[in-house]
Amino acid sequence: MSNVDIEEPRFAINNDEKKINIAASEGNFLNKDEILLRENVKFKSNDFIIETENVIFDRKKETAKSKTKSIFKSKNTTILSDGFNIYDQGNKITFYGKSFIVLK
Amino acid sequence: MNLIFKIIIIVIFSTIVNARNKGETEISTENGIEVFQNEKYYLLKKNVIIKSDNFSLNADNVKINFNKDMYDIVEIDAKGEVMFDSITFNSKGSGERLNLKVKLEEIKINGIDSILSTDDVEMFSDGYIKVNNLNGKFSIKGQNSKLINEGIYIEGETIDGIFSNINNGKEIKSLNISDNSISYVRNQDSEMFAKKINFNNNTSIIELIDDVTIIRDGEKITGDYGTLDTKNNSYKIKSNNKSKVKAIIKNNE
Repeated sequence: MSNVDIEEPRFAINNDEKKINIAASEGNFLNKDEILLRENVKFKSNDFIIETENVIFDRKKETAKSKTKSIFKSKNTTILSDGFNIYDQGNKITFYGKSFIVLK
Repeated sequence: MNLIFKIIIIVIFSTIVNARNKGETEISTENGIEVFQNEKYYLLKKNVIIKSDNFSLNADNVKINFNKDMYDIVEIDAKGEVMFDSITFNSKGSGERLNLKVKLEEIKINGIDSILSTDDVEMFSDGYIKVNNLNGKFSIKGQNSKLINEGIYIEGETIDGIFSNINNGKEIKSLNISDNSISYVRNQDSEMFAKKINFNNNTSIIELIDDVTIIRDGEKITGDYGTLDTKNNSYKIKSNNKSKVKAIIKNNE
């Protein structure tokens, strides 16, 4: 019997300007609103992609927090960090810990 | 699958962290980054290091404004023990705060012990130093403001001027120095004091206004207004009260 609540979960964060699609291999409900997304977690909008291992997604607040190594990619920009927090409907992203940006 | 993903992330991390390719800008921070996508800026927090082919900067915290995407940098605002070196601006410096307007090519350093230097010119201030690389205008304001350029030493609370670029160096085209107590200019053979001192490279004339003193070859002349022609090395001093021009001539024998 699998411990996984949702296989291949798909969610989205919507704001006036853009939509951020969220995908992962597995998901487990932590409570009514929070879901732990695990393995190949991807956030994808028209502007950027973020990849990481584990994320807690709050579907009511439309926030996402990760404490695992993350890669953000947008046009000519790569950010590496020890995790991130997406809030304000995807407008604001905080990257945690020792972080690196490469601009081309 | 999870293991493969971990390996990919570690490989990408170590590749990016260890090598900057030509043309790339690398930024590192110790305490993360905040990106404000609608407001078009990001904050770099704690021990920030920026390195590119033509520019390097170290500071405690940095705010970067961008145009459309994060790489399209419009303005850098750095705070706390700022040090920078710019090949594009042919200058380096340090101070408490630095503001760089990238497209306008304007650099401003604020705070105690601000320094900005090029190959030919050194500028110092406890207020601010501002230089525009496109039009050559510069401004040094505040306590302990100084400019040193090829044998010329200048002190004043406000030093405004224009540089022109000649033979990969900088030449001063014009200067306006003012200080409520006294401004000071020293060249190879003269010392000049006045509340206001102006210089125009086209006319080669240094103009001295209010509380004027010129010291040269043991002579000390005081008055209210003076001019010094740097071409033929002559000077004139006038006084509002005609009898008040004062000359002290030392006997060097």
